[in-house]
Amino acid sequence: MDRTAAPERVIFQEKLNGSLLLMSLLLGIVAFVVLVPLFLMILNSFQLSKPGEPMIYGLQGWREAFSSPGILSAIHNTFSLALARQFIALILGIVLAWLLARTDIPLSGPLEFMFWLSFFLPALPVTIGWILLLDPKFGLVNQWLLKLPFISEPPFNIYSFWGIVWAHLASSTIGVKVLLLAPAFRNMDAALEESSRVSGASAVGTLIRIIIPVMMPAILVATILGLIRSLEAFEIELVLGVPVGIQVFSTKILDLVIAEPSEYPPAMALSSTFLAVLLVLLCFQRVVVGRKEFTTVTGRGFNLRRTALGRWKNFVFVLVVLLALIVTVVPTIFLALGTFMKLFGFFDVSDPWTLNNWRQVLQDPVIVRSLWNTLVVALGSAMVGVFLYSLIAYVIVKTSFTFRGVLDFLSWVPWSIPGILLGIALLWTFLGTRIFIPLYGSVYILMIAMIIKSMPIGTQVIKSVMLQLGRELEEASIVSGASWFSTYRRILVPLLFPALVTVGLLVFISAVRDISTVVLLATGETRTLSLLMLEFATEGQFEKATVMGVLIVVFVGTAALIARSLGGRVGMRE
Amino acid sequence: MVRSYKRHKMVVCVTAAAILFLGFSQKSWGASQDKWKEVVEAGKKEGKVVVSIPASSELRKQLEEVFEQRFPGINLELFPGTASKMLRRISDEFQAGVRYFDIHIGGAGSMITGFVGGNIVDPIEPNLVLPEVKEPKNWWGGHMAIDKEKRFTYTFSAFLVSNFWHNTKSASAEELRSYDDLLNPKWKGKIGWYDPRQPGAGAQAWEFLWKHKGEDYLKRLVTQDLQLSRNPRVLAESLAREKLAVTIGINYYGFRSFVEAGMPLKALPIFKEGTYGTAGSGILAIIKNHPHPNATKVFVNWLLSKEGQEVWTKEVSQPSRRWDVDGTRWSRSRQIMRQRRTRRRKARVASYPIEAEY
Repeated sequence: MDRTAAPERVIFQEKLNGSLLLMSLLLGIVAFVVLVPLFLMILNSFQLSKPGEPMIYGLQGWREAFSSPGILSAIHNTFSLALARQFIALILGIVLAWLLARTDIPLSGPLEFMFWLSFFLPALPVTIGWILLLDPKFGLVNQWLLKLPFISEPPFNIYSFWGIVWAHLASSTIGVKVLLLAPAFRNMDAALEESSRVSGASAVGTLIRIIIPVMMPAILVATILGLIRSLEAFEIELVLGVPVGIQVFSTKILDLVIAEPSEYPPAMALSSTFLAVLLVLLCFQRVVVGRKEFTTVTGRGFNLRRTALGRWKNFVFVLVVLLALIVTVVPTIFLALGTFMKLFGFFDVSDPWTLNNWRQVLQDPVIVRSLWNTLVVALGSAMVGVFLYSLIAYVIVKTSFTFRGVLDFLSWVPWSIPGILLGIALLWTFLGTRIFIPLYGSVYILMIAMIIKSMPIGTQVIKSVMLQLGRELEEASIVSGASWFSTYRRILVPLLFPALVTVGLLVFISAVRDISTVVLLATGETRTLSLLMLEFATEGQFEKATVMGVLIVVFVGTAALIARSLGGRVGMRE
Repeated sequence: MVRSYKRHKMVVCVTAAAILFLGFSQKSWGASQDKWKEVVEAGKKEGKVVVSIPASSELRKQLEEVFEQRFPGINLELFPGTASKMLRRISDEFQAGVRYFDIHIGGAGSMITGFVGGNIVDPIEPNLVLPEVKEPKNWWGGHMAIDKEKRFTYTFSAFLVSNFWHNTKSASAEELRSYDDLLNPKWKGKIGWYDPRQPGAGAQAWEFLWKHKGEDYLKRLVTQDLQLSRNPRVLAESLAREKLAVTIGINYYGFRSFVEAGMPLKALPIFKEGTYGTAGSGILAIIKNHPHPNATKVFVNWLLSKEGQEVWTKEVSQPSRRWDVDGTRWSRSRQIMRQRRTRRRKARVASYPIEAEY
């Protein structure tokens, strides 16, 4: 007995050492790629010399950052805007995800896809579309309402606090909540809801008392994601806020970055606030999630039956359709119209329509190369990213690795650097690391950058769904003689597949749309579609930029359709 | 007879001189041609040249198309973008020992403070090969540079500035004949300015007014509640929508699509106090230890040739300093061009203030 047990222990020990080594290696790689940019960002906040001059360090950047005029009101505006829109979006997002994933609402699939679509739409043209509707002077909605006898003043003003909140909600804030929460809601065993209903609770009561607490890891990830993204958003604020004096943190950082020469030290110092906010949010997440159990998928069978909405079904359906139309059809119409206009938003010029924008963009010799680069970068980062993030999430959730908490924290770190500055931090990282130099100037460096950037969302979404999976399924597989890999492939992957597809799609979309992370890393040969869009926007050719925006939407829309069909085919089925 | 002999002698001398001159010049032309062929062949072996240019997709397209047709085998990789972004990237690459860019073309601000100041550029002169480029008399004012040593930059564009624009519906040109007219309370909150706190046309206008009208004038102008923006399109839209009556610091290029769409936007006639000259974005620098030295020479010489300058002037609407490039064919700011041609005739080179900026 002892003779046979001893070699088994040795093999187990070897396996343990092997997996320990792999996990340590993973920790080392993640630590390197996320901590080096962060360290360089902090270091450069003290660096005072101009490009090409010898290094001088000091506190001037920090002093400038926090003593610049209007910084306090910018901080106040940033947090109040972020909290207002996240509060509204979270409530709407939870209700919509529940309705679409857990109830018998008609056309749930197409409706969910419409919310996805709202997340794909580029912010700038969509915002200009809302200006055309809600501008206090010439906005079409205001003009129509002023024709009513009892309205004497324009009721809407897009250039205001609530105008900015509206533009965010209608562009992507609600859409991303649905995108993140729906897969987690789908993984919930209906037995929990049924028990609640049997005990006499209403559908809404069940949602509040049972579903939301069980969904807490996913809801927290969506909330933290939303808050961090809200802090660094600047496109809408720049167009709607700055003209009426509403400055936010990110527009201040942008001012410093686009100055000539760029003032990186104060910009980096201001960005350190992001790290502080992220740390607070992570502590909050730890306190809320703690050691509680969130398993909803167990080995006891899985009931996916949807809740019947009863007499509310049609009413709720109409409301959801209306909301979906507002966040997708309205901006899409304006986006499409803009591509055929001589001047985006100017209907009063003589002969305002033209095909020239499309003709000129499609005849641009770099368009095909840019399309190919985009496809390679987006597909590559999505595939490698999903694999890497699922490994990280697995180590955090399913192993007893001593440093899994550290790995969990590290996976959040790329979000501590605002998007505007992540590009420069990654440029410094790649230029300062020998291993990356041979890849410099190639599409691979763009892929690596995008994998690093999407690490928080990718890892955390997979992690939140992995927390829902009980151990029994894996244990049953292993007891039945399956290897670890076989268990992973045949049990975990199918259960995780909808989440993996969502993450893959998010990384893909992020890579297709991203500008700030890759703008300093791309070359003329590796230019992506979004960088071509930036090129047109920088020279003031909004109409051509909008054509690029439409092409990007078509690109990611097609990818989303493929992903949905793939997810439905391989993932869990009802 | 003596007269005939003398005449004959003179003819012989002149003919001999002409033959000698032609011989020498043909020899020198032939040598230049040989050298040029060698450079082009070596450039083809290098395969490409990487150039950072001002943000203009049309400029990118036209430069790429014409250059690659002229020099098949040399891939022109153009990177349009803002100067600050390019400066950051090129200087960071330089410090890390990575050599990717060969040439930067842009405005004076970042060129002096960043590229020349950061000591990351090579001298221009050794890269000039073609006689039509090297010959100073082909250029208005001869060869010009904006750096103190006159070695590291080449200024190929020059024009008088006309970046005070108005919406003819909300402000008539007659109301704005002097810089003092901008102080009229009527224009409070109606003047947009391309942010003068960053290098560029807005800052140049600010500096000109500071030098010629004084600090008190600027202080009074600021009380007009100036609308600053770093986005030319935002200012152009505001002018088109009559939210602003006047904008300062944006040239024809920023208003092109609005003018072409028939919006009532026009450059104000030059104020009675005068205006100033600039090189616009037409300044070239070669990055130190650039990776494609021969292809760089090919591009530099081509860009500074008649053909290259015609492409530049057409796409950027900034006139070339080459005498044989007629900017009026392409520039919509004809009034400015006419003034420049008048100045050419008067040949008041010394008073031209391009170099006075530094």
